Amino acid sequence: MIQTLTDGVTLNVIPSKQFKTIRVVLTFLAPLDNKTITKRSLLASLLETNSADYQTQTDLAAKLSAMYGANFGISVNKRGNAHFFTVTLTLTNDKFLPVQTNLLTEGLEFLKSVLYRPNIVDNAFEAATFQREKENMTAYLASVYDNKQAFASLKLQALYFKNDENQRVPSFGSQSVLDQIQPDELYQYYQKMLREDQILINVLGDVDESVVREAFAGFSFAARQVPTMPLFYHQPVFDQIQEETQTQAVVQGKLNLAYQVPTYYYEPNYLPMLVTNGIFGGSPLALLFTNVREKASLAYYASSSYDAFRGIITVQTGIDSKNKTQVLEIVAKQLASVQAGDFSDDLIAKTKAMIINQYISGLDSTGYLTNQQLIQTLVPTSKIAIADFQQQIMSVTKQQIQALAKQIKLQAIYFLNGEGGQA
Amino acid sequence: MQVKHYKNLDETLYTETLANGLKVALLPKAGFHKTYAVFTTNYGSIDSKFVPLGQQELTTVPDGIAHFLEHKMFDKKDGDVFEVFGRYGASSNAFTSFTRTSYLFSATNHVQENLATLLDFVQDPYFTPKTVAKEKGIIGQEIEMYDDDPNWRLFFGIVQNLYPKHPVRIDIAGTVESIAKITADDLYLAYQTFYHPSNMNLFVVGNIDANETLKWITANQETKTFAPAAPIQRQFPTEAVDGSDIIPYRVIEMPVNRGKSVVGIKGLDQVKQDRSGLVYRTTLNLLFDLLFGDSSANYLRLYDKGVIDDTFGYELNVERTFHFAALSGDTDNPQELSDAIIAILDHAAASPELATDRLELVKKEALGRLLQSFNSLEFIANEYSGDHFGDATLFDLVQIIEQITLTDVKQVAKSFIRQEAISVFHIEPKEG
Repeated sequence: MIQTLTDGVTLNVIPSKQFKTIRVVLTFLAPLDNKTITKRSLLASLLETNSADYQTQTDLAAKLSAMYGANFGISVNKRGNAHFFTVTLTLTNDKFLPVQTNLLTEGLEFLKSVLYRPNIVDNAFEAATFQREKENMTAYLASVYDNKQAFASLKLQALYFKNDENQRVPSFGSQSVLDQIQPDELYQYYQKMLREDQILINVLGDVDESVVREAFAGFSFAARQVPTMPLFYHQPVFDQIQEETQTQAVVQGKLNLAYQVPTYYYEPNYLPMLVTNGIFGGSPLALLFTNVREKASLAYYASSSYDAFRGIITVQTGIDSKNKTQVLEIVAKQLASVQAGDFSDDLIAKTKAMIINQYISGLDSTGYLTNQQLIQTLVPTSKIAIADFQQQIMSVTKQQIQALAKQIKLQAIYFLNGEGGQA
Repeated sequence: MQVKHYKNLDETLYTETLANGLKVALLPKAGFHKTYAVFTTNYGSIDSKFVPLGQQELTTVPDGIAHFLEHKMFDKKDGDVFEVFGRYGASSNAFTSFTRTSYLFSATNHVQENLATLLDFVQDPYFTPKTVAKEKGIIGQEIEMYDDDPNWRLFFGIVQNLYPKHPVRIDIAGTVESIAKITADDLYLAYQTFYHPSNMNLFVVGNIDANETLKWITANQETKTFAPAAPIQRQFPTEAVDGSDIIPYRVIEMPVNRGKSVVGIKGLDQVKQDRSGLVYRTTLNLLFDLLFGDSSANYLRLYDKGVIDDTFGYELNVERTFHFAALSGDTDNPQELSDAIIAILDHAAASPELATDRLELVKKEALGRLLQSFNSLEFIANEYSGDHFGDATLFDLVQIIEQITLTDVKQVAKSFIRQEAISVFHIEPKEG
């Protein structure tokens, strides 16, 4: 049950004896803003590294080891128009440990300590830590270039979101903003974040709810306003397809495409759109995989994914660069096939079965479950019974799939050309 | 069927060896929705020289054949096996490593039918010149994809330094040239030799009843006939026991922004394939946690100096016929990173990090992490079925971790970390 700790701060305890762990997730939510994305990303690194009570990262790591390998991490990501700063702590359930422990209480104390007592000197993040984490983040940002799949996918995003600077910046930030950040200003921003961000807490495991509630009462959260921006991102359709090609000395080319779809998360037609994407490229049985990889032997991977918070489907392929035109044609033909109804009832049945299987499988993952609870808090219509989910997926018709496929509009093509050299 | 309850894990494992030699292990997990099954043959990319079933002479097959076979198993006369699993929404996959090939599915219903599909498709090979030719394009793309992956190149770079002859040095998928030579007959030859039930195991975990599941499996196996089980003869090239044929250093250039550095240590000591081997691997893990883990003084010193960052890590491979360690990270100065690691390795056995209180700490961490990993059906099944330590398994690790002493750790440090077993490989950014 969701409890309000104070305005803008909610706690949701999900009791379960299924797992050997207790998972605690604090999500700080703010409107997506290109001016703060990079700051939040750097803050995640700093807070993971050390704090006032754990002055070095070995002190902090030793504390986690002493709590039987507790897993502590902070990640940043975006969904629609929101930016999530997510603090996760995973603890072993005491009952499996050889000696008497109280890891939940100890772990929540630890969280409070690292979040509320950061390593601050003279109203600024401690200089040496700040400098090092900034350097590490610089190196990380540069290394994104080295993972060609990720690189191509970011380039495609930049192309599709060219007119929206908030969406264009990757969730982990950008170098030009990072260069400007100062340790005192970052501390000010962090205090503002603690004060003003919406906070959603989810705790999953074999826990006593009152113990959790009391521990979080000790965090003394101040009341705050819930951000009012719409969660879903919309943008106008481009009249012309946006195209960009870059050449690098890589062996395999990457051809990525972006399509706009007018269907959003648990709005009408969401579940039918899941099936439509599944038939187009969302599974190993999909038309994309079967025709680009299995029949034409043109690619090692070819798939599509659907971001229902931003109304976009992306296609990613790894191909021999000389086959670009042919692959483009085959991809276009698969979408045309979905629109024309040129696919079997058997494929529909299997795609539906697979979507249901994935949904139910998620219930065995602690990460999936806490995330599902978080999203259900933000999008209450997504809270549906398993049986309803199954029934609604099963009732999707071929006509619906064809009609939805016609609304999928190609908007951007990014090509990383590997013809430039030999690795 | 043998039943063993592991009190400290609150898990009950059921095991049985069938008449045809297939080893079955079943782990019911209360509260889980999913069932995960993995069917594994003790056959991987290194097994390219062997005596084929029913023959007398050694034969050598093209590199990459185990992985090629794995791909081709899914392709049947009447279509693709993915489609059959897809009928009930199950997802299936497979993977090949140096020493094993595994086929798996994950499902939330129709477990009996899915299990039958898994057993039947792996036990019914279908290779033709046409389907073999088609696969060469797909696997060629897979090989090229890995060619662009700097971490993959780094890993094989160091492995090739450490192993001048042993087939572990060859990419699991082979090369574009070697797979070009593979024929349907080669695939049948390897298949008949290594896919005998006595060389395989099946692990099923999740929402199952052990007795019922075993009945299904037994009934399925009883409908099939196999040649009598025979021990498999493999052969591996001999390498210098003193490490004198290890290539000490190589560097390559790649189109990356940051350099990469790796230090490899080849195991020149002998590891047995029984419980002592699992104890050895666990002890070695604790040793590296002590020396290089993020709670060590070494880590802090190198991190604060900017020599390492969050990309730094180490991995141990203790496998059939070989074992080695690799410590690596991204860096602007690959030489500095490898020098720093070697300086620590040179005095490892005498390192102040090897202290009783530190060992207690890393043992606590290892124990907690092990328990946490039992949340994952995939982890349990994949670990259990890939190990090769006789009767000792993943389920014995709680006890093994508890019993390891500082003396054990120091002993392993001395026997494993030898100067003559160390090699370095760097990737430098290519200009332009």
